[in-house]
Amino acid sequence: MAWIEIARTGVTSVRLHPWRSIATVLCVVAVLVPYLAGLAICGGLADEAAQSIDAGADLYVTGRQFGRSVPLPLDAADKIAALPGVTSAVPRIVGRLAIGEERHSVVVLGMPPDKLPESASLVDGRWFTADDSNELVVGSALAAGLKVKVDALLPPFYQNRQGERISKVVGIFSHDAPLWQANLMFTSFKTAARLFDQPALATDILVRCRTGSEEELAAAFHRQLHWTGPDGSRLDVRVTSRQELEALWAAAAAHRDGVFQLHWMLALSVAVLAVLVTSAYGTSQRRSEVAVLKAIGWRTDEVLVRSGVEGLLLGLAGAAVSVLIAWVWLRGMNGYGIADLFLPTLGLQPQVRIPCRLLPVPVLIGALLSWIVVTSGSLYATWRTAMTPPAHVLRSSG
Amino acid sequence: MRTSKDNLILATVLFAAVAATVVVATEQFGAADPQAAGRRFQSAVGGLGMGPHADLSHCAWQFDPRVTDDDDAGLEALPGIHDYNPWHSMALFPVPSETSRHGLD
Repeated sequence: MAWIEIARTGVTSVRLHPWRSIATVLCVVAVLVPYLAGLAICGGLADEAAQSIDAGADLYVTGRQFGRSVPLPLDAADKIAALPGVTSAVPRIVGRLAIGEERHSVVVLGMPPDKLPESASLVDGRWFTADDSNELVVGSALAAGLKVKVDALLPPFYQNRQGERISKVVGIFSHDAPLWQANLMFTSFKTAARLFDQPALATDILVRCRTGSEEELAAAFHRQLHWTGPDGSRLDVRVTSRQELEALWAAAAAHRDGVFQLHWMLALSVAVLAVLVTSAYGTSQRRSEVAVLKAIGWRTDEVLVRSGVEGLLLGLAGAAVSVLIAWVWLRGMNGYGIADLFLPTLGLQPQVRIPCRLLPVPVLIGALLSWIVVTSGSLYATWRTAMTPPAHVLRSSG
Repeated sequence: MRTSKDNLILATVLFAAVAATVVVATEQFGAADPQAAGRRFQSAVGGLGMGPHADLSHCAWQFDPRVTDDDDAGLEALPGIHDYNPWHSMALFPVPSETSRHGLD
C-alpha cells in the first residue's frame, strides 16, 4: 500500500512541473512521430507491393540487348503461348509520355482488355474498349493535374506516322486504388501502340503457367527465344519470376530497416540529451525536491520509484500522443508534407491515398524506447542526487 | 484537490494510451477495403508498381523493377559518395547497379 502511495507521488511530480512534463513529452513526440509515420508508410507500401507480386504474372519476359531491357516483337506472345506448360501469354506496353503544358509525366499502360474485371468499381466511369478508339482510364493525380473529368476530350498529345487523334477519358481511377495509379494512363494495347507509334512491339509479356513449372519455363525461354534481325543483330530475352521479385522485396525490406534504424539511433541520441536537459540537469528545483524528500526520511529506492513512475507516465503519454498524431497525419491529412519524404514523386499534397499501416511491433518498440529515453534522462540524475547528502544538495542548489 | 488533479492526469494518459491501442488494432484488422481495391487493381493491370515512386520520370527502378533492370536516373556526384540519385532520399529499394559499379571501381 505504501508503495502505491509512493507511486502516486510520481503522478503528483508530473503535475508539479507542468512545463518540464510538456517539454519532455514534446521531445518524445518530435522523435517518435516521424519514425512511426515512416514505418507506417513503409508497412503500407509493403502490403501493396505484396499484392502487386501476388496478383501479377508468374513470369515477366522482356527483350535483352547490351545487357539492358528492350521491347520484344509482338509475335513473342504467340511463341511463348505455344510452349508446353504456359497457360496464357499477354503482351503489355509500359512506357512514359509527357503531357500538357506542365509536361506531366505519364505512365502509359496498354493491355488487351479481355482480362479486365467485369466490375468497374475501381474507376469513376468505365473501362476502355478493345479497339483503337483512344479511350483512356487515367489516374487520380493525373486527372487533377490536367483538370479533366470523365468524358473529357484530350487534344492529340503524341506523334504518330498515321496521324494523331483526339483521346477520350472514359474513367478515372478511384482514390482507393494503389499509388501506382496516380499518373497512370491505362488503355488498350492497340491504343498504347499508337501513342508510341510502335505497332509491332510489346515491352513485356505476362506469362501464367502451371504451378511449379516456372524455373523450367524460364530456362526454355532463354534457350528457345531468340530473334536475329536482317542486319545480324540479335535479341535475347530476360525473364523475371515471381520468386525473384519476392526475394528482391525481402532485400528491400532489410535495406529499409537498416536505413530506419540508423535514423532512429541518431534521433534517439538527440532525444536523450534533450530530455536530460529538460528533466534533470535543467532544474535546480528538482534537485532540491529530491533532497527535501531524503531529508524528511524517504529512502533512495522510494525516490527512484517516484521518479520511475513519473518517467513511465511521461513516456506512455509521449508514445500514445505520437501514435495518435501519426495516425491523424497519415489517415486524416493523407500524409501532407511527410509523404513526400518517403514517396518522393507525389508532392507535398498527395492526390492519391498514400499507403500506410501502423504495425504493432514498431509501436511497441517506440513506446519502450520512449520510456527508456525519458527514464534515462531523469533516473540517473535522480539517483545521483538521492545518494548525495541532502544538506550538500540544498546548499549547492542555492 | 491534489488527488483529483492527479487522477485527471492519470486518466488523460490512460485514455490516450487506450486510444492509441484502438488505433493500432483498427489498422491491423480494419483495413480490408483498400486491400481489396489494391488486389482488383493489380489483377486488372497484370501487376504494376512495387516501389515508392508513382511515375517513371526520376527512376523507373523505384517505380517497378519489372519495368527496367537498372537505376536509369541521372546520378550526381557528392563528396564521400561515388554517385548518388537525389530521388533516392528515403527510397526503399537498394540500387541494383550499386554493387556492380563499386565492383568496377
